[in-house]
Amino acid sequence: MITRKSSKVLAVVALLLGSLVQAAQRANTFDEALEKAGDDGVIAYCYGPDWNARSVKLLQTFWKSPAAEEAAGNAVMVAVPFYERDDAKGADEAASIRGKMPAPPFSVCPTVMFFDKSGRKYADFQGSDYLGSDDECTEGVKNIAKYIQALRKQQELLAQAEGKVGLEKAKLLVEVGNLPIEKPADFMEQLELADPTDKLGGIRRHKFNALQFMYKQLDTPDGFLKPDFEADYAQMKKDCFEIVEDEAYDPRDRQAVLNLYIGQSRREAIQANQLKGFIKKVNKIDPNTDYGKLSPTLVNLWGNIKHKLTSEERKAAREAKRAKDKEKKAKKRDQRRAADTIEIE
Amino acid sequence: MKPRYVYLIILALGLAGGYMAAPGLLPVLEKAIHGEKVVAKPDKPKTEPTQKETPVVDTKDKESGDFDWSGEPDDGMDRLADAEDPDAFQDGEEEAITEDDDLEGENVTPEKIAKYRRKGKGQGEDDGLRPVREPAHKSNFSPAVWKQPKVLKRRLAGRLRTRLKGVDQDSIEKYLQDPEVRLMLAQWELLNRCDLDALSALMKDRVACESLAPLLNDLQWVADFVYDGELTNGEVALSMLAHFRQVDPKMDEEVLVDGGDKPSNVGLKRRVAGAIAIQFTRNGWYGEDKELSKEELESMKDLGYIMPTLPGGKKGKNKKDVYRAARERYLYFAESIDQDRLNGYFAQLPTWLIHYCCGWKGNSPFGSANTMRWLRDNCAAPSRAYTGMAFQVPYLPTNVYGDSIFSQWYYQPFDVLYPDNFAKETRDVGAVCGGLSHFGTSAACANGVPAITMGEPGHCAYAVFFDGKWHGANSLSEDRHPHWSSWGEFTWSALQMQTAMYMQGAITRDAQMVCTLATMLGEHNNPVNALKLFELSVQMQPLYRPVWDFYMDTAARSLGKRPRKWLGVNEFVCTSITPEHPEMCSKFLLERIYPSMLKTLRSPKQKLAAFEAYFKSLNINEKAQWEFHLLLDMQYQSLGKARTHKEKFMQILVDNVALHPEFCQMIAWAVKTAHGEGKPFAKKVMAMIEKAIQDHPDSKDLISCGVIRGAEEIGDMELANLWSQDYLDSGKQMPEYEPAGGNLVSAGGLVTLSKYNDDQSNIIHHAAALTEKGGHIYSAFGKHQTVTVELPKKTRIGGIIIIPTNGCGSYRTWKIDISADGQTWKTLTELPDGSKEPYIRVCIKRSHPTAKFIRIDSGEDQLVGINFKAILVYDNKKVK
Repeated sequence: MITRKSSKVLAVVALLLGSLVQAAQRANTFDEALEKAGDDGVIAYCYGPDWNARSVKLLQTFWKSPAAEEAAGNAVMVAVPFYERDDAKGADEAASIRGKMPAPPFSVCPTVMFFDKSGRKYADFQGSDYLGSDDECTEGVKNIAKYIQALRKQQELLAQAEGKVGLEKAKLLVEVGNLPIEKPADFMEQLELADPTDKLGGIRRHKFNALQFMYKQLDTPDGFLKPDFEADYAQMKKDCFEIVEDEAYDPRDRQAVLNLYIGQSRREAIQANQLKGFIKKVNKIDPNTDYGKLSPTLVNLWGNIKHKLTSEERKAAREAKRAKDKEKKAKKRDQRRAADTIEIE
Repeated sequence: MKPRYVYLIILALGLAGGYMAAPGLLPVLEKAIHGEKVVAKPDKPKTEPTQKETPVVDTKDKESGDFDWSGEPDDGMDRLADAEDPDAFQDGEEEAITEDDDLEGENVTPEKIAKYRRKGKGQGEDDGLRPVREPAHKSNFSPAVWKQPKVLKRRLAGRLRTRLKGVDQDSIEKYLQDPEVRLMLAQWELLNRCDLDALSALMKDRVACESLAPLLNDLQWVADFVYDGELTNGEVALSMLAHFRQVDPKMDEEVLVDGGDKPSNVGLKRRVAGAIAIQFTRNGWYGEDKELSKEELESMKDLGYIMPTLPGGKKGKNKKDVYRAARERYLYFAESIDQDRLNGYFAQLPTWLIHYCCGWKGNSPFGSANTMRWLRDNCAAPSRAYTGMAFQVPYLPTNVYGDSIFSQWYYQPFDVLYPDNFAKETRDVGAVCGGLSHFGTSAACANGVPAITMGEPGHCAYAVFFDGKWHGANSLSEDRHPHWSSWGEFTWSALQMQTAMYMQGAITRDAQMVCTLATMLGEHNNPVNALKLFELSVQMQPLYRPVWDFYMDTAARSLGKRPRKWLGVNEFVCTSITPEHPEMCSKFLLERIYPSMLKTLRSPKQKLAAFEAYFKSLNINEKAQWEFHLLLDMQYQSLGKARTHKEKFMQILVDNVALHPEFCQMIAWAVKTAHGEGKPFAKKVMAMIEKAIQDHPDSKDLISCGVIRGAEEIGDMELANLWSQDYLDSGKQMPEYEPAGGNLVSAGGLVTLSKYNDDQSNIIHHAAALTEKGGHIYSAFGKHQTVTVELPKKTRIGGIIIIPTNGCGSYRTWKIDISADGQTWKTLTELPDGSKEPYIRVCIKRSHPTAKFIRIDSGEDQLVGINFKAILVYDNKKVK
């Protein structure tokens, strides 16, 4: 017979068991971790036993800490050694621990890599900038929690999108795209099917490449500016502000595009207050990005230049423009003449 | 009178008699005796010998003072040239060498050297990846002794000579087994590399003297300090070290890593401190700092720092933090060692490699302590991964504000976000090749992995050291020039030779010590034995370039006009250096051996034998990317005007290159030079080349490449065409195209490029004559590349087709010029930018210009390597 006291004990045991089920599990090898993996997938800690003493230390103070386990949710945690030298002690076993795991992008050690249950890598982070400088890696623990939450959210959104079509589905997919983890492989395909005319802006947001846009505007596919490059400011302004004013684009991309226009227009005689206005607009788009933070500096650098021209300068500028136009006309004439005699295919 | 003095007098009389009998010997001897350069560290003041210390030399030995390089026995007996040095007795402490006969020389033979080397290897220290371990030994010189460096230097010399029982190899081997001797040699070398007055001033500072004395008394430390890097201005380096010791009182603490499981860091911080002091001094990265404000001076005090002064500077008046950059670098590494944050193999690096990690670019923003700290914490990777580290930085010639990397504005707006962290700024903002390579190098060095940046034609690359050698990274060419080096020349070959030398750690250290001993004896008026020891040193370690310089300074005089000796030296240099380091050997022959040797060798046969020694020793599979033509020109010109010798020279050259066709550039030189000698000679040389190909069919492609390159240089269309035929159209797939005019007139034309491709051994990159299928054109990478087609005859142009190998997309601002004479050019047409078409077809409808030359210009601003599958030129006539 279950007494009141024993029922209390059972309840506590049940609670404890429940919490154990919720807690992160550990695995000895990557393949074992994948086998055990549930919805929270696998988190791998890559360290260098023979060459990176700090990563070995953090194995104890960070990776094996209760805080990291708690942040990892139900993910299976595995520590994977990467040796510099094959003849180092323990190097023989490393290959079997790594198993099917892809090599980490070794820009820094330690690296924390995140895989979903299918083995697809969806995130990673590395270095003090993301782990923190303390031995407990407070920042790293937060990042683990952040990526696990993002994975859960991604799975939830994708599950919701499963039963939907059209813009309703697209809306959910756009949300998926905004999560700070890698998108599923068929993400763009699905989005294009759901919103073929890009009404929600997700397609242009995710397809946009600020660098390519900039190089196109500057007419320099290899990135090296031509010395005689002359911007068509009116056209550039039109092209840039189409993106700057469209909130479908990523704020950082909008800022980059506006920066391009600021950078070019500051070379021309535009009013200081106009330039200041553009610079402040960058900050307004998102004050927390690097571009946003740079606004005050740019105002100091470029925003106080007075462009009030004297009458002589205006006259000289007019004459220069006339000469330039004349030169352009002559060049076009030559080209026309050449075209009459030479045909290029 | 003691018997030994009687003996000395007899010897002196003997010398006088010898001098009377052979007056021609005097100038040679006098120069050798005074031997200013024997002791030369070029920028150091040297003790002038006094006349009364004229050495005693056995003049019977006409070839006195040098070993027989052929290994034949030398029956001459070299007397002790060093009479008692009065200095050595001044303090009444030392006993000078008493028996002159003790220093009788014995021949060094290749067998003995080989034995010595085997022995070195047996010690397990020659893999070069471990520090050279000296026996644990310390001297007990008190700080007071170090305060009088001049006296100490004399005493050390006296003691060293007292213990020296002979200069033959066996005696020296025994001599160097004595730890005290090793320590004294290293200490003497250290003092020899210092301005002793300035050092004396430094040592009068009690704090500096007391902190340095323990280091200076320690054999391991002093030997590493003086022999594992190029120590110049030693007194400044020591002053810097004293400052490091003051700011880091824990420098001597031994850190056992990982509970002693890994090799301990014993003495690591000391070695790091020494490396930084040497490199920052040598490169002048000190003294130029701004004056500190009162607040900054106060904060220095709060940190417990004593304001450092340059040696000899007035204390208390200095407001410049003269060693700031060096101190920050040291503290960065000290902190990283204490916290065990560097690559796990850093502690095991030999000191010469530590120089590359710690002594890297003290004047670069990539070398600031904060930048390195960030790189350590955010770019720690296994050694080999640093070859890819540069690519973390995006290659962006223009920043987001449209400013070019070549302008001051590129980074300026971002500086505020990255205070004193240029690496992070570079990674986030972007860079071109220079920034990428500096990022990769700095990341490696900051983590304790040796790396260096290098210049390549129009490019900046870097190299990382792992698995026992340097590996190029972000590299486009093998024409590499390291931006710095721990000593010597800044060339890739010099770096390779230096590395090979230090990889033989134990024997190199011994050779360096023998060199010190030779320098010391030279300074103490014993040039004959000094010369012998220099010879022993170069034979022990022929890759140690500085000792060759010392040796040649002495030997050039004493070897005089003795062809056999010179041929012996030449043979030794060629066989010991050329196989692995052909460029370094060629430079050495050019700079040091040939200028003296060629004056001595009168017979062209002897000269040919000397030159053949070089070619026969070629071994390494390395392309001749250096200015080898300087060597060939000097050799060739020295043979005089007689054709028979020149023919023989060409035969030797061709035969040896046929065995090592990687050096096919030498064939190009032969073709070009033979062309200058007239048609009959050129024909003979071509016959030699054809014969060589028959004898060595495997070398055909490379030798043909050499011939075509030679033809390119002399503009011999016929020759280039002839040798290109087999290579031009093989495996070429052409797109379908309509002819652009009447008849094809370019077949048989010669193509000249403004700059030929650096790849000297791939014939397809040089087979540039035109065929009916248009040939193949492959230029170097760069701006403003031109391809000039010389048509077989003047023609009225009807049209031109250009078929780039990979489409037209990468060509912009390009144009076609034409000329009737190759001098005056007229633009025919500009071509469309970045066309997506597979080829360009230019049809001239009317007013067909007459031209013999067609030039395709890639444009001033376009960085491109021209790679065309075909150029086809048509006339305006009806198709025949």
